[in-house]
Order: sequence, then C-alpha cells, then structure tokens
Amino acid sequence: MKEISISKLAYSKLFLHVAKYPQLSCNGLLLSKPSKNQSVQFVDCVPLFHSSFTLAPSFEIALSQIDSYCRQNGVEIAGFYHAFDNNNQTEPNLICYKLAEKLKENGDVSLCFMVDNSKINPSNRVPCFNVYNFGDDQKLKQISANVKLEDGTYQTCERLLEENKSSLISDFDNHLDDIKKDWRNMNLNENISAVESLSAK
Amino acid sequence: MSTTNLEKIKNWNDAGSQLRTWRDDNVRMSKETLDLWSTYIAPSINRLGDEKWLVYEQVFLAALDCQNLTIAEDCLAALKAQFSSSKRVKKLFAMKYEAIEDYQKALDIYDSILEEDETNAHVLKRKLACLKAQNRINEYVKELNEYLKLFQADHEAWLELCDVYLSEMDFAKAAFCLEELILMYPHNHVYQQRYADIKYTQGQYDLAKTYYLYSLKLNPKNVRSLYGLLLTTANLKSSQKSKEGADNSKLNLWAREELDKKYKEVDSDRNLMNSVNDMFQYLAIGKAEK
Repeated sequence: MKEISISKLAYSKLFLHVAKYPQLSCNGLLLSKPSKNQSVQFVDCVPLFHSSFTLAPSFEIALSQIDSYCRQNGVEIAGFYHAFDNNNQTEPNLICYKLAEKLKENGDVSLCFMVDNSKINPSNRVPCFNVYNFGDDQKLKQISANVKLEDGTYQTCERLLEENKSSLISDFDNHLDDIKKDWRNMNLNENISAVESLSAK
Repeated sequence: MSTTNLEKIKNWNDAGSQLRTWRDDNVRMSKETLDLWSTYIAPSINRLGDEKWLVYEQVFLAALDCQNLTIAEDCLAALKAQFSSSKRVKKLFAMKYEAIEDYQKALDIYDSILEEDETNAHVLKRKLACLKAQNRINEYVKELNEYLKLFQADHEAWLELCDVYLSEMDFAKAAFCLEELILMYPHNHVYQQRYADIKYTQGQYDLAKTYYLYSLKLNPKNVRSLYGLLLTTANLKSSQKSKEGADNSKLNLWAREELDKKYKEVDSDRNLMNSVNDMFQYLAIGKAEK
C-alpha cells in the first residue's frame, strides 16, 4: 500500500482552490520531496486552472515555470488533483489521464487525487479525494493508499472556510489574467500560520 | 470577491444597493447574498418597495446555489403569493426541483411553460442545464446545437458549446464556435486569443500566431496572447525560410521583452523571475541574453 503524506500547507491550498470555485472544475499540481522509497511526501501545491483544461498554451507555460520553480526548491511534481464541477462525478476522465501520463513521462511517480465532492467538508475528517496511480502499465487505477495529513489540517481548513479565505488563493489562470496574482501563493503561508496559532488557543 | 467590500455595508439600504449592483452585473455571489439577506434585508424587506420582488428572486437563486432550502422556500412563497400565475415564478419552482435533483418534475414544469411559449429562451436553457447536471453530455451537445439554431446571437451559448467541445477534446468544433463569436464580435481580443489557443493546441502554429497578433493589436496587454506569441514563434523556428525566420525571431524577442516589462512593473520577486526567465531561455530563438 502506498504511503502518502500531505502537509497542511499543500492540503489547505488544494482545499481553498476547490472552495473558491465551487461551480467550476479545478485542477492543480502537488509537489513532493524526492522520494527514496515507496512513500511520497507532498509538501506544497500549485493550483492550476479553473477553465479550459485542454488548451495547450497556458498548460505549457504553467508546467515550464513550475518545473523551474521545483528545481530551484528541491521538490518535484509527483501528483495532481482534479475536482469536477458536476457534483456526482469522481472518476478520472481523458484530461486526467493525459495529465497523469505526462507526469509519469517526466518523473517516477504520478498520483492522481480525484476530489470527491461528498467528502470535501473538513468536518468529515477524511481526505477529500480518492487516490489513483498511473502505473508502468500506462493505466490509471484507483489504489487504496494510507494518506496521512499533518495534525490540525482539518481544523485549519474549517477556520479558513469560516473566515472566507478562499478568495486569497491564486491559481495559474488568475496569474495569467493578472500577473500580480502569485501562483506560488507565498502570502498564504503566513495566513495559514495565523490560523494555526488561533486554533491553538 | 473580498469581504472588505461588505464591511462598508451598514444597513438595509447599503445592502439593497449592493444587491442591485450584483443583479445588474449578473454576478454569482451566492453566499454573500445570503449573508446580506439574513443580516440586513430580511428584517426590512418591505422598505425596498417594489424592488423587493427582484430581491426575493435574487435571494431565492442564491439560496438554491448554497442549498439553503429554507430561505429558498420563504422567498418562493412570497413570490407565489404576489404573482400566482406568472411563468417566471413557475420557472423558479422548477429550479427548486433541479436543486434537489428531481429533474423529471423540473422538466414537466418547463415543458408546460414551453407549450404556451415555445421560444422562451430562459426555459430552454434551464432544460439544457438539467441535461448538463445529469452529465448527459451527448444529448446536451445535441440540444445546445438545436438551441443555437434558434438563437444564433446568444454569445453565452456559443461560449458554453465551445467549452463543452474543449472538454471533449473536439478542437475543430470548438474552433467553429469561436469563429461564430469572432464574426459577431470582431474587436474582442479575448475571442481572438482563445481561438489562437485552440489553433495552437491543434498544432496549427502559423494560424495561432496570426490570431495572437490580432489579439495583441486589439489589446497589447493580453498576457495570454504574449505568452502565446512566445510559444508559437518558438515552435515555428525549426521550419522556417530565412525571412519568416527573422520575423519570428523579432516577434519572439518582442513578446519576451513585453512580458519582462510586465513582470518588472508588478515588482515580481527574484524567485518568480527565475522561473519566468528559465522559461524564456527555453523558448528563445537565437541568442539568449540573460
């Protein structure tokens, strides 16, 4: 069974992105520390798009910049998430398959986190996605994985939701519309720490 | 939308104005609408005069969006009491059924409205929405095409059809939708740029480059078009006769300089610039300066 851990920062960003666009599909990348064994440790997340997932130009630009960012910061793209606008849809579609294939071409690990809309609310205390793996057999299959979230992740997400912080997150689409919006979301690190310290009281 | 806008609202009058703005701009601020309703509007609804009926409708739709059926029912009851034989209110009843996923009841109501008024665009679109919500994509595409035969000028519908074709990766048909939009709105830089995006995705770099240039002529600040120009000229470099090659190099450099200027204008930090510059290097034709 795959051992997957996701940092509070990574999960919170994924959560905020999905919360910001409830009426649209969204996707994004998950960045991990280089993995030595079967376990994967996700430390950050870059929300990508909330529209036109199949258009190549914005995708190429995003991947190119994020790739460079990863090299500078010693992380790699090991997975992505996708949330559908349709409430009941959870299975990966062709777009997800192609993205998973692309990640596998460029790295060893290609994990696909399909957001399940029924599990999104952090009060459920379960990760909001089902995990799929793109294997050497070129197939995208659901796997049972031991997904460990950092302590306090759900509480932080609840707090962020209460305080309407989803407007703070910027994805690559936002960046292309207004380059002041930072797809690295450096500002969120502070916000998430602030929420952490409040929850601790 | 940030919450700072809502901090300026102090009373029912301010809230009413805010709701009016959102109605006029046709924005989807459902959660915020419900917050304003509960805090300011509901206790003072009668002070809005005749505007209250528009507000009831607006809050009803916001309530459905947020699955707050209690507020939705209250608003619907008020509207029904006032406009008992209105088709517009009947449509709202059907939308309530849509919200609880009882599509058959919703469709029955829509069909009954269409019996009396077969070209009611709002209702036709609601029927389309039912298909989309049930993920019946093939039927959705077919019906949306039929709708567009009746309402050829509905740009929202053309955009929606384009999006559906894109998600099905049918780029040729998606391009056709944008061609219709460009014919209707030849000065819209976004449609030109989106068309170019599709052409690029199809591998038609020359055509993509042309449309990115049209888009930039209309709006030199369109960042997606600048990036698109960078990408297309980089991709065209290998298959070029000398004059075209020189033109492409110039365009490539120009796009790069414009983007560089924009990033510097917003004071992007060192780390972000590194990522951007790496990409520039990769996409440069000829000598890379940095």
